[in-house]
Amino acid sequence: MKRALSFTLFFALFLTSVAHASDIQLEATVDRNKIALGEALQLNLTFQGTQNVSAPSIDKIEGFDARYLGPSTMVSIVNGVVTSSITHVYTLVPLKTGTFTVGPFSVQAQGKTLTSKPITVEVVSAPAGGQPSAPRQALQEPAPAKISAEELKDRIFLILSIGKRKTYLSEFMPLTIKLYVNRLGVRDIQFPEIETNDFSIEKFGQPKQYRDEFGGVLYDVIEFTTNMFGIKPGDFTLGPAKLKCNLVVRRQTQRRRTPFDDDFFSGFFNDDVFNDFFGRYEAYPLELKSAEIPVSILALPQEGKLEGFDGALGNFQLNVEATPLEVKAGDPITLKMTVRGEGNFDSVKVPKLQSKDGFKVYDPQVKQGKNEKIFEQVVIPESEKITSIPQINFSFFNTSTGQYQVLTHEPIHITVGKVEESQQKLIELPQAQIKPAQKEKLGRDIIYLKNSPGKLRKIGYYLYQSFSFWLFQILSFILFIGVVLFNFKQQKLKSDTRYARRLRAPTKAKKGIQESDKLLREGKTQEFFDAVFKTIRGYLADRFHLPSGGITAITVEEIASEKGLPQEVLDKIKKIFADCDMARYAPGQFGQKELQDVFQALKEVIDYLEKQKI
Amino acid sequence: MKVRSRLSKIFVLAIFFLPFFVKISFASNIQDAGAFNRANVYYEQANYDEAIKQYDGILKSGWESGNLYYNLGNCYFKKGELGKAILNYEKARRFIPLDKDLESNYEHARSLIQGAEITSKKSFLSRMLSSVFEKFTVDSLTILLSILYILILIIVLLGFFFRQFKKQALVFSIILGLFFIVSLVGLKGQVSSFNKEAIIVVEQIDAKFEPMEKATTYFTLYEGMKVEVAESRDNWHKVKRQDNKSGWVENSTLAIF
Repeated sequence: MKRALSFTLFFALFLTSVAHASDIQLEATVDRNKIALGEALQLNLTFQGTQNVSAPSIDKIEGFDARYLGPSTMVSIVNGVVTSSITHVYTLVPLKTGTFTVGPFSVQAQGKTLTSKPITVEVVSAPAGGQPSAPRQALQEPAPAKISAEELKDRIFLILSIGKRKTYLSEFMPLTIKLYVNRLGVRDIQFPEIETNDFSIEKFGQPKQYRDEFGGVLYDVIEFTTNMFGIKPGDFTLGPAKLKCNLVVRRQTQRRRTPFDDDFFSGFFNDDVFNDFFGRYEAYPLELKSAEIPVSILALPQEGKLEGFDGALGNFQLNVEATPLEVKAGDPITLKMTVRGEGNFDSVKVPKLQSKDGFKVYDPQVKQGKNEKIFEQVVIPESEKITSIPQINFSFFNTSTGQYQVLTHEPIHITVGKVEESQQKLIELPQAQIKPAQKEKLGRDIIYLKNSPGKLRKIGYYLYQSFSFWLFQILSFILFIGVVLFNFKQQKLKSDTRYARRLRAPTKAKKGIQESDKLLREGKTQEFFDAVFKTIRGYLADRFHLPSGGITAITVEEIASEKGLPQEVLDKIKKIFADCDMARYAPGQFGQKELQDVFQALKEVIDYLEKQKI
Repeated sequence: MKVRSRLSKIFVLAIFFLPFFVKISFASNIQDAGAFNRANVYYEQANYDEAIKQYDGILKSGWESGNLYYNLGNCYFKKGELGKAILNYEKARRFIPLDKDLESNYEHARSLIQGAEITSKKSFLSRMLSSVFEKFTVDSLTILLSILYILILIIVLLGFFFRQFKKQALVFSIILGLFFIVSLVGLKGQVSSFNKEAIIVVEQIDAKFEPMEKATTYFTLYEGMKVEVAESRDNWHKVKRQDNKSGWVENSTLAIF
């Protein structure tokens, strides 16, 4: 990055040097035009636009002895424009009195031949006696008492200048006062003053300081600038401008001055630092006066005077901005009107609205800048029927053309909405009784977005496709059937005793068999037969829906023939009944074997009957 | 006593199973919620295209909701695409038919449809039924059917257990049974309308007598109109307008939903 930058910079410099190669100029100056014998003259050969010129060798100059002292270079950047220069400095010592021409010098530089203007220098003889040394002394140690008034005039003077000699009333023009000083020490320079009743002069700004050539001599210049304008018409004289300062002089001569001496302001910085030990300085007050300038102030022409003219003088442009462009009736709009240009801004008044109908207009706020004046004006449209801010006019007297001129800004389109309802109501409240209520007109548009996505679900997925949904339906149906069947059974048990007895028979029989089995193992023969008899009788009664007391061998035979029981089963039943009868009277005759047979027969009979659907 | 305890067992069971289908809601995906909010922000900035992109992203990830279609409808409405706006409002109506905002936007959008209003030629009964069932989603109809079914079973059971109320139970279950059948018809109608209804998404299209370009124009359909798709053939759909006029239009002119 850095490298790139430096390269760019280098390249730019290179380009500028190339660009300027073609406009190299040579300028020759001397520090003074008049010189006494025995003094030295400084000759500067300045090459503008380059630093790449070696010191031209100066051949013999008639009447002078030339010696090269050295170069001094300068680079200046003003507004981005780079200029460079080199000055080769020579000392010229006059050899004889008379008027001589120094130059013209011709120098070859970068393939071009540059030629300077010739300079005329007058060499006078040094005055004889005490006097002759005076000017010499004076020059070496500038003491006003010893410098002739005329010479002093050449070495320090004031020039007053103004933009133009003819000007309109109240028209601004620049006023410049330049202080020229050549090789003199000057201190305590005060701001210049001009006594006048005919002009209004503004305060001077910070002075500029530079070197300038004047009649072939190099001067240090202090420039004061300001603006002025005439306050009444007529022919007047401006000036003289007066400036007070102190001239610094050395009381005693200590050594020869060098041509490098630069007395301006701080001449002592050169050799004077050393001389400070030897000599002392004194300040002499000096009042300088400039020449006077005649000025004609012209009144503004009546002819062509515009209606809206407010006294603005100069050359202006107008720019208008309005914000906001969409308002409700009664809301403020700010008009920003900027007058730009050159001229007397004190004379610029606010640009005018062509018509103020339908607007409430407030006084503007004014901001004044250097080359512009900004007016911020608040206007309030009073009804929604207004569609634009009217045309804005600004009239002024154009001092450069000498004519009146008007700047207009086209009407600005604005949108004025209706006042909010609550406000409208407030306004119309007193008339509400008279006016019939207007039918409210509602705007129609869609309602705003939903903030949450709501219940997100899989695309194309519906509850009726869900397995658990159907499972639930099926389970509830199964449950329903179950409950219905259960209910059926309950009802049957309640209402149908035959069914109920038939249903209960095997359970009861099972219990009886278990009891008989137990008694059989315990060897209680009597009780065993009782149990067997109860079981078989109860079972048969329940099974065939008969009163249990009515079960006898005969009834069993009847049932058997009725239901079609096999003979084998009937025999077994009969045998059980017979054995039970027998055991009541002669229990002793039954051995373990017989008991087992009876028990087995009981089980077989009940098993068989349970399996048969009779 | 015994009977009562059995009955209470049934209720317990029913309550146990109820959440199974009443609460079939899916925890919304956090990512999708993010996209949804982003889309809303884009909408606020009037960047409707980007908002639509975000909403479509959620749809592409396989999730949908009434609010989503509603917002999408708003985007298209603001973009000036009336057909797609109505299409999305229609889709949203399948999920949130009772939403007032949706109803208002839907009505407003429909009021902007060009062309003369077409009066329906359906019978009073079917119009009344459809206006009732419009207020139900498929899922709520499913749940309604399920509830009716369970109620019928319970009432039949009560008739068995309490024989003295046998007659009332019978009458009641018959009424419920009728409701059940009507709802079933409604559900059937709704489900069968899936991918059979369509919205015209081009400004204006002529419906032809035959599925070819040179065929004679029968009638004109305007953007946002709702039609029934009766038949499809290559690039053509046979659509039926509400006044029972049928004609052929090209695929690209409508969006089936």
